[in-house]
This record gives sequence, structure tokens and C-alpha cells, in this order.
Amino acid sequence: MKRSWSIGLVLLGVAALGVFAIERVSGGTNGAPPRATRTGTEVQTLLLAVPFELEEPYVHAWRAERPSVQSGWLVVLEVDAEKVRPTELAQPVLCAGDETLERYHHGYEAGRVVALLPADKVFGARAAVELAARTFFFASPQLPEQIDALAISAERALAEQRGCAPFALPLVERAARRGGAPIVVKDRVELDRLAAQLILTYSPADRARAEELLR
Amino acid sequence: MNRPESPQGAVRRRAVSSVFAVLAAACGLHARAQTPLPGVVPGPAPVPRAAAPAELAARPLAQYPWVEFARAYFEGQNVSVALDTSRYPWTIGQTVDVWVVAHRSALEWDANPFLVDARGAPQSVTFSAGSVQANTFVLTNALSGDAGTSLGVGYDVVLDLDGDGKLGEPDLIDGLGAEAGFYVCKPTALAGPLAVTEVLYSGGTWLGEDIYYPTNIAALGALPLVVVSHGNGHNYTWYDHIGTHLASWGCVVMSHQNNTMPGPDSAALTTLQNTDHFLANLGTIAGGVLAGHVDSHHIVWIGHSRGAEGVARAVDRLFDGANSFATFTLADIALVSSIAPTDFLGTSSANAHTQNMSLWVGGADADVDGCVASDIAVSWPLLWRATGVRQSIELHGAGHGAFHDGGGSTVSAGPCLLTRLDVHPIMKSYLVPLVKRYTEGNIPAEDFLCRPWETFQSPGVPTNSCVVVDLQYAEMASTGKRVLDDFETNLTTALSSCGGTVIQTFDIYAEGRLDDPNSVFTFTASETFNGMCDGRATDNVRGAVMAWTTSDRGVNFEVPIAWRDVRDYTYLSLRACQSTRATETTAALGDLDFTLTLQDTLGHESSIRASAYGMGIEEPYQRTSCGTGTGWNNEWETVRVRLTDFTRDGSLVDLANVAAVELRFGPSWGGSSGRIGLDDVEFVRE
Repeated sequence: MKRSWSIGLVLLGVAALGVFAIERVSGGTNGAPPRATRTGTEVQTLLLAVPFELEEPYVHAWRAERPSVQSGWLVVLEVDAEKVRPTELAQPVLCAGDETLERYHHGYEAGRVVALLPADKVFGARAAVELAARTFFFASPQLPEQIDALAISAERALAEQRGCAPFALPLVERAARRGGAPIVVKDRVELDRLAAQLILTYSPADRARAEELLR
Repeated sequence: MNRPESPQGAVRRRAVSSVFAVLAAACGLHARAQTPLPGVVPGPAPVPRAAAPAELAARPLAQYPWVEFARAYFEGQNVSVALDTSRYPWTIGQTVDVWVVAHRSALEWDANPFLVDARGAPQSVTFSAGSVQANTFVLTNALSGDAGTSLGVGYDVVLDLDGDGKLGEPDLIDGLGAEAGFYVCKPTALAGPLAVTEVLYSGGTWLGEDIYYPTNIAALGALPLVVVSHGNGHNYTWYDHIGTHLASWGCVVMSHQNNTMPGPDSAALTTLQNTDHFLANLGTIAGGVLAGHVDSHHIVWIGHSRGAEGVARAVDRLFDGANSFATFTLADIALVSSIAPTDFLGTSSANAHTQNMSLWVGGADADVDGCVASDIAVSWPLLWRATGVRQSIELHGAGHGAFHDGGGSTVSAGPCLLTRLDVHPIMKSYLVPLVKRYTEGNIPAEDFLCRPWETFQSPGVPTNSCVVVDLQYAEMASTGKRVLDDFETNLTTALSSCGGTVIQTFDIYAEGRLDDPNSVFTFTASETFNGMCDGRATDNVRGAVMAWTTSDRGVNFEVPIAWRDVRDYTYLSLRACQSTRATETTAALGDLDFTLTLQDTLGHESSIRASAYGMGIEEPYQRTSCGTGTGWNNEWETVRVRLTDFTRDGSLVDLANVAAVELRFGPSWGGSSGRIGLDDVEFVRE
């Protein structure tokens, strides 16, 4: 029974994301959604945000403490492409508030990144408010697996000094509406499949990565 | 070059040598005038009472020592038989049948001494007095190298001196024992004999796997497992060239999704988890066809970039006990092969410890670029942190992306760039012997890893002038090798690490850490260790740098008394490099030649030029940036010379009493001017 419930929610999530994808694609060129108005220089805007909750937690490998995560946000961000240029060397680390985001892919060609932001479960109207309180920024180039709470806090202060600020609540609310209903699924595998759809929509050059997640 | 004169007023300052040299001269013992004496040990010629082992299968050389007793040859390549009649004077004037026989062990020879020539019939040759040159004969007819999925068909060479068609007294044999006289190999750049099946599998998050195996695996035994861990921004489906090739040579290959974006430690965990998952689920993966056909005790980890650092880190995690699995242990990791690895984690963590390690570096890599501006982008320290057998393969002109087959840019910078069509056959040609060496203990595979590219390369590799490959090979200490000087203890220049005295006559001679002292390759005369990339501040990798300008110079390493009998050793080995952007290097850009000399306690000496084998010290890849000037990192190469080569053609040097190893440079001995690095001067076994 529980399995059926999960599958139902997955389908619900896919439907919600699918509606958004169709909406965006219809307004874009060459099959990619149009760029939103830029509101920042490094993390330029929040295109989509949808809360998620998992039955089975996963380890968030993108910070040194490697916390266990069971809820948060699946987001699509428009970013300065140079910050996500693929390299084997150190890259800027995408953060929001005092947390690092897990980027599903590089997103260099599109300048858009699909990512997971670990967060406490907050569904409903308060969710957008909570998200709007966070400053999205790129920490200095380093390994995400080596950055800890102290370093994130220091990097956040630096980011705010250079003008990074939270997104306006209306923008976050709009992104949350695009995201649709919260995703409640069994595990990361199911969540990843939803994220793969977003990669295909927002960063089609990373199709190979999306296909990995869909297999 | 046969027994050249000593350098004028340069190297031979060691008192004992000089004394004996004077005595020898006074007694008319000039080497060129000597009557050849038989055997390695001076003394009367022993007449063999049974078939005696001898070095016979050879590759002719254009200068002294005239032949190289190599072990591996490719199908269709000439193999010669060469006899140094100065060591076997009783053969002079004899016409003898040369037999090439499918290799037999000593027990098999005992059971069956009858000679059966693999070519159909023996070949008659007549030996004469004089140089081995006059006693070198090309063996007729093609020999098969078809060893199935193994590498090399072994053959023994027999000189049937009594003409009785049997092995016995007084015949000579090359190959009496576990090792054949020589091996004929299929081209390793070309596909092996097996058809390959590829399947995609997913076991969950970060457990996506691209699996390659011989299609007829049901008819095969347990095959070695090769795991491929991709790099950041790469994809696990981008290694078809490795997977298909090694599976065709009898391996199971699994390339997996790799969680590289958080960093190489996360990648390491993914390598470990995928290896474990794969071995634990053989009953279901690919419909269960692999069950019972994967040898979990012979695993090779190949990583690329962050994934290449990840595989070293994965070893470190097993070594430290941070991770353990029911399906495999550290001892099961036969080889760690890192392609263009990053070095984020440094000395203590990016460390393959006791495991065998191979390193691949592309000279034109524009990502992990090797510029000393960042320790993270310099791969070499990973190699020297390992303490197992270590080997490196450096390719001029190869970019970071040239090692995968995912298309797109090769991520390269520099002149004479190589395409994937160039790089992949080279990779394949070395991957087969690497895997065979460490999963099977394959003997001829070692030749692939030690002999210079210039003289031993698989058919099927590109031959254009842009293709330059440099190899290093270092045995592990537990083989009992005798290290004369690794420069890591006894830090004065007058004393080697083994405690012997060192006498040198260079314009510049210094010992130090092999770590460029600043962040650029720009040359200044005072920056002795410019271009060195073998260790970072926390690594203890040391060596020497020496320079000379248009004068003969040299360095003489005393062999300690207890080590002077080297008959149980096979090679004199060292590694050397040219200093990048140095005026002495750029003055005559090219392979730098020099001379290796053995001196015995009686003052006899024998010298061999490195170029005799087609070797030389490679000039650095001519890439710009990373400071001013042209030339990338100092490119180390291993130079190995078979000790018995110093005894060729009646040389009096006595391998039972070697007093010193001398390296000679300058106009009389090789390159007129130069600035080089030197390390790991040692006697090693085969």
C-alpha cells in the first residue's frame, strides 16, 4: 500500500513539473525556457522551486558534515555560467543561507542549474517565506565535500558584502507556483527521476546526465 | 660504443679506481687489447656438464653492446639469436643448429629433451671469433603470438652444440626455467580474440554501471575485474574504448557513475560502493551471466581525473580501515591506474600506499594541466606516494579529454596536439600489459612497461612525429633491489643514500626535493629544481640536478663492499629528465644521450651509451604559459641496462666485484651540454 501511495505522489509530482515544463517550453525558443529577469550577478534568479520529502533519507555529500537529509527544495536556478564551467579543479560552491546545494549537473551551456537544497520540511504558504529568507550565492572555489558550517557562514558574509541578497518574496512565490505541489516520494532514486525531467527542460545540453538519472 | 676512454680529467677521481687503472695500464691490460675471457666471473672457461642457460634471443643494436636480450617481440617482428663467443669460446668455429622450441619448464625438458622446432625446422649457423655482431643471426619464419587472451607465446632457443636433436650437455638454452627465452606477442593496441557484450545496469543512486564482458563468458573461468571511475563533468558511458578492448582480452569491465562533483573523496566512496555492489549482485546483473566468472581477487581500478584521485583515495580508505567490504579487500586491488589525476587531498589521503600504481599524464592537458601554480593540478605526487610497483606513461600532446571517448573538446593546449584517434590506441597498447602484468603476473608484459617507446611499440599505434611517449618503471623495495642512491637519506652530495661515496665533476650539482620551488616553469639559473613536479611540500621525493656546458663531466657512485656482487641482479636502472626551459636544455633541444659505465674492483670498466638502445633523456613537451619560456614539466624516463650487456665482447668488467657505477656526460659521452635531473640509481632484478 505504501508503495502505491509513493508512486501516486511521484506521478503527481511529474504531472506538476510536466505542466510547468510545457508552459515554459511553449514560451521559449529552440525548446528551452526563456531566461527570467536577472536579479543577481552570480545566482541570477530562481526559476522554479518545489519542496520535497523522502521516506528514506540520503547523505548530503556536498558539505563536510555529510548530514542525513529527508526534506528540502528541488530548485532550478539561473546562474553565471562561468561559475559552473566544468573543471576537474576547484569550482565555486553553490550555497543558500547556511546550506550548500547539491547540483545535479554542471549547467554550463544553459547557465541553469537543477539542484537540491536540504531544508526542514515546510510545506504550504510558509515555505516560500522560508526560502525567501535565504541568500543564494557561490562560495569561493573549493570542494563541496570539504566545506563546513563555519566556512559556509564566512563565505555567506563575503557574499553579502559583495551584494548578494535573498530573492524577493514574489519571485520565490512565483517559482514555487511553477514548481507545483510538494514532492513526496520514497527515495532519492524517485526524486532524481523528477530532477532529470527538469534537466532535460532547463539544461538540455546535459541530457547525458539526465539519462543517467532516468535509467 | 665499446670501452670508451675515460673522460679527460673529469670523473675518475676515485683513488682505488685510479690506482688500479694505472696498474692495469702498466700491465698492458688495456681493455681493447685483452684476450676475451669466458663467463661472467673471470677465470678459466667452464665446460658445461649439462645444457647451460644462456642469453640468446636478441634484438640487434647499431652500437655496443650490439644486441639487447629483450623478452618480448611482436608477431612479424624479427627475432635474432646472438651469441657472445667471448663468453663461450668453445663454440667458435662450430656450425650449430638453432632450435626455436615452444617453451617448456625445466621439468618438461627433463621429461622430454627432444627438440621440436616451432618453425618446422632448425636453422644452421656458424659461430666465429670476434664481436657478437658477427654472431647475430635473424631467426627465420614467423612465429605465432596467439596466446588467446593472455599475452605472449613463450619460446625457448636452443643451440644444439652436439647436434643430437636433444637438449643436454653441451647445449646452450635461453629459457630453461619458468621464463621462456623470448615471447612473441599479438599487438596490444588491437582488439583481443573475444567478442564483447555491453550492458547498462542501474542498482540505484550512483550505481549506474556500463558493463563489458566477453560474449562467451559462460565458457570462460573467473576473469579479472576492471573498474573505471570517470572524472568530473565526464560520464560513465564514455569509456567504451577501455571496456571493449579489455573485455576482448578476457576481462570484465565495469564503468560506473561517479559522484565527482562534491570531490574526490565522494568519488572514492562511489568507486568502493560500485565495486561492492557489482560483486554482490553478480547473480542478477546482466541476467546473472557473470556469476562465477568474475575474479574478485584480481581487481584493477582505473580512474580519470577526480575519479583518478578517487581510486587512490579509495585505496587509502581501505588501507586506513575507514571502509571494509565482504566482497573484496585491499589485497584484491591488483593495480590502481590513475589517468590525469587531481591532487586535492594530498599526501596522506590521495595515496595508493602499498598497491601497484600506474599514472597517465597528458602533456597538453588544459584542465589538470600540470602547471606548478596549483598543487591540485599536478598529478605526479600520487605516483611516488605509492610503494608498490610504479609506472608512468606520459604522452606529449594529449589533452584531458583525449583519454575518454565522450566526444567534444580534448581540453588541450600546446603544440602538436593528439586526437582521440591517436591517444586511444596508445592507451589500449599499454592497458593490456598493465592488466596482464598485475592480474596474471604475465612476464612479457613487463617489457611493455619498461622498454622505451622509441624501440618497442605495438603495431596499430600512431606513428606520426607528434607522438612522444615517456615511460617510468620502478620496482618496489621488497624485491630486494639495491638502491645506490635515491637521494632521500645521507643528504650531502658526497654520500649516496646507501652510504657509498659520490664523486662528481659537474658545473652544478645539487640534491633536493623534486618540487618546483615556485609557481611557474620560468627558468632562472639559481632555481635548480625548476620544473620538478614529483612531490609537494609534504612529500619526501628527492633527487639530484646536475649541469654541464661543452665539457665532459660525470658522477661516480661507489658500490658498498657488501653489494659488489651483482650477478643476482638483472639491470642497472635509473631515472632521468631534462630541466625544462634551462639554457642548457634549449641550446640543443632533443633526446639527450649519455654513457653508463660499470667499474670493477680491479679497475676494469665497460661503458654503454643510452642511445644504443634507442634511449635518451626526453626533452620536455614544448608548451608555453605557466611563466615565460617554452617547455612543460621535466619529463622523467627510466633507463634500464642489462648488467650482462656490460660484459659483452670480452669486457673484463667483473659483475661479482662491481666497485662503482659512473654516469658520464658531455661531448665525449653524449649531449654536449645539459641540465638534468637524476634519481633512483639502483640494481634491480627482472
